[in-house]
Amino acid sequence: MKRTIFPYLVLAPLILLLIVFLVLPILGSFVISLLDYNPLRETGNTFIWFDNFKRLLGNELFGISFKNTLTYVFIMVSINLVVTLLIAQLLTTLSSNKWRSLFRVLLFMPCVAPLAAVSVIWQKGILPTKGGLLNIFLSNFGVAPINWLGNASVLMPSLLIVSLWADIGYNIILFISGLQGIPQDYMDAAKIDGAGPIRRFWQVTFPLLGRTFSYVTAMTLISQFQAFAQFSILAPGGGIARAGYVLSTYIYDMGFGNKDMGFASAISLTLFLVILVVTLIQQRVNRVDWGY
Amino acid sequence: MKKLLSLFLVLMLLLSALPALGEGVTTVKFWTHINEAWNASYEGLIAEFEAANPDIKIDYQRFPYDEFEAKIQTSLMAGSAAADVYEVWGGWMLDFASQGVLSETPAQFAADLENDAYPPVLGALKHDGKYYGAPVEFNIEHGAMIMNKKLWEQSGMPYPTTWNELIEDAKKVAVQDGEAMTMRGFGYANGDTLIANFLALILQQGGQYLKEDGSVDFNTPEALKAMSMLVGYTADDHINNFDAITNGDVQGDHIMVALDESYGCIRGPWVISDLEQTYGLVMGVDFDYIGQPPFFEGVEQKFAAETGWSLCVAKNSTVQDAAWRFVEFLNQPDVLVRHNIACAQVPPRKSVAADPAYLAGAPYMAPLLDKLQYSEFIGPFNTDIIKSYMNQTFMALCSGDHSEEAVKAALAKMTEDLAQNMKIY
Repeated sequence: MKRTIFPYLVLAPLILLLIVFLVLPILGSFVISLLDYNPLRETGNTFIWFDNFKRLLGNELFGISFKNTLTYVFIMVSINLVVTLLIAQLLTTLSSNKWRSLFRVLLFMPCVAPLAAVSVIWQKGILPTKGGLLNIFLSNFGVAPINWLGNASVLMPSLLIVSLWADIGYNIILFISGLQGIPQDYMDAAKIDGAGPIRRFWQVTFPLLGRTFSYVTAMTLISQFQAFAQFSILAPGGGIARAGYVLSTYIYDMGFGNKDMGFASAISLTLFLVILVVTLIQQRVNRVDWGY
Repeated sequence: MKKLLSLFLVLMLLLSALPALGEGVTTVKFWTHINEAWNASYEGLIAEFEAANPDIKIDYQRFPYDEFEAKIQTSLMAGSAAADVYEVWGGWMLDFASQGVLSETPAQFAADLENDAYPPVLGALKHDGKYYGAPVEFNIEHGAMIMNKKLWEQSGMPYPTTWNELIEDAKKVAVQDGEAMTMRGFGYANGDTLIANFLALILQQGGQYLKEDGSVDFNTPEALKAMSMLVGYTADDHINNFDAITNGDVQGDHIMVALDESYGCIRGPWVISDLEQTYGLVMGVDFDYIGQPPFFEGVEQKFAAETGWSLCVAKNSTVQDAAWRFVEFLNQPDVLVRHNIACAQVPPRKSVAADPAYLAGAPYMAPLLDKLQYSEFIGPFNTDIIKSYMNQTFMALCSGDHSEEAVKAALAKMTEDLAQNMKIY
């Protein structure tokens, strides 16, 4: 009997924490989404059932922010995975431990800085049209100054560049760990069979990295769907033509600007469902049924 | 050892008796945001108030501006008000006043304010015919201009005296290099001033944008002319670009003036201290603060303004009488005049604006004082929403078709969007 109860007793505090800080808030958010809810109001927070969700249909701002969010996440996650995997692979091939550690530290450093601070540095020092480091660098190649934050067609690329710079270090570390966990025997066998470096990567390394890849993809997807700080700072009000308006900033504007918490919760739940569906699809696609 | 123990126990007894000595003293908790000059002024006035009211002690706490609204909101939502008196931005008051979390301004005090305060500073404090707070300053983003003295002197041009002269001068000096504007002729469009200028343009033509229910309607000939003028200055005359909107305050209009990248801009007087303290500039040497000419010659320089900082008392405060005594003290004209001078604030009361002591203490406010009489309350809505739609409409028109038909269509869409998305209190 004791044997049966023990694991539950050990897990109970953690489960309790998850219930209090994760499950209950999600349920609370669902209840609030059914209300006409202003947190300041003492009375009158009445049930309007699914009216907040109906408001989303045909809502122009929701459409814009939804489209921008999907565009941002798709491009960001794709580039992020390719770049980080490539850098991780290059770093693992370095024979010197010193150099490998140095590059690892350098690439991880942006992850340590708060994203809000990073965004302000990019806004003030790197992206300004006049005097910004990026335009100064590009001027060496004869490129005319670009208004990175004030031109609708380059605002999203600017946001992607900032997000990539700030985020890649974390995934590089995860991929390096995954790559170092692959037994050397497989590589040796492939080499004996005459496989070159590219073939070894695609036919040995990449399949064996499946679990890490699946985890990194899921985590990156979730975190990028929730990206907020860089959008809030670099694209105030959504930026020009609302090219930088995403669901997280729309939720903030409705919840804290309009004090319309019911509607903001409805958008949050929609975002939650989108993340859930995308993550489930990704988990299904990247399913790994083996071990070594 | 025993002696030491006895001494310790006696000391403990004495300490535990200390609170009893404070009996009869009411403590009022007072929250404001952090601003060096404002905090220093409040500290001085609190000392004065406590000396005159020994039965009241003010527990003064201040918080960073960025987290201040959320802090107040959380505090009021909790129901047991963590403070008794809050310094609140007028724009937030619309949310708070309408939700029954604030104490009503005492009748006599309210009558005094109604008689002496300018309409914009009271507008956001009023709900269902009652007032919920008292204004301490008048926020203004129209009526005066920061001018880069060095650039104007180098150009050999005197400061313009009419709006048309200003635009013509700005056209002569503005320089564009690809997408970068290396010299701005005149800044009139940032997150605060664009909407202020648009509404002022409508009012100065004799038009109106506010409907009886507090919503807005820009489907008018005056709004069409106003938007066409503002768009034309950027899209056709190239005297300015969007940097002050898209980059937020980081490259705000007045900062561009400070960096010698702009000849001038419309801004409220609060930027004077920023230019002096952050950029080490000297008024009268590096820059001047002069009156903004009306948009059309010979008209009253009407403008709409969005309140200012106010003080309010929490409904759940258990020391409401003491709290209101403190607020009324701070709002007395002879006290307010010193506070407004110390904080470089535009006075919310007509009597303070008319007091020679105010002008003597804050001579740089001269260009604004005679214009305050033409002020109107912007409207009973959260101005963040209208600013956001205004900025987007303006930038879209400047970036593309801005023919009369396109401007008309954009204004109709803005009116419709605001009707759907902007809450009217």
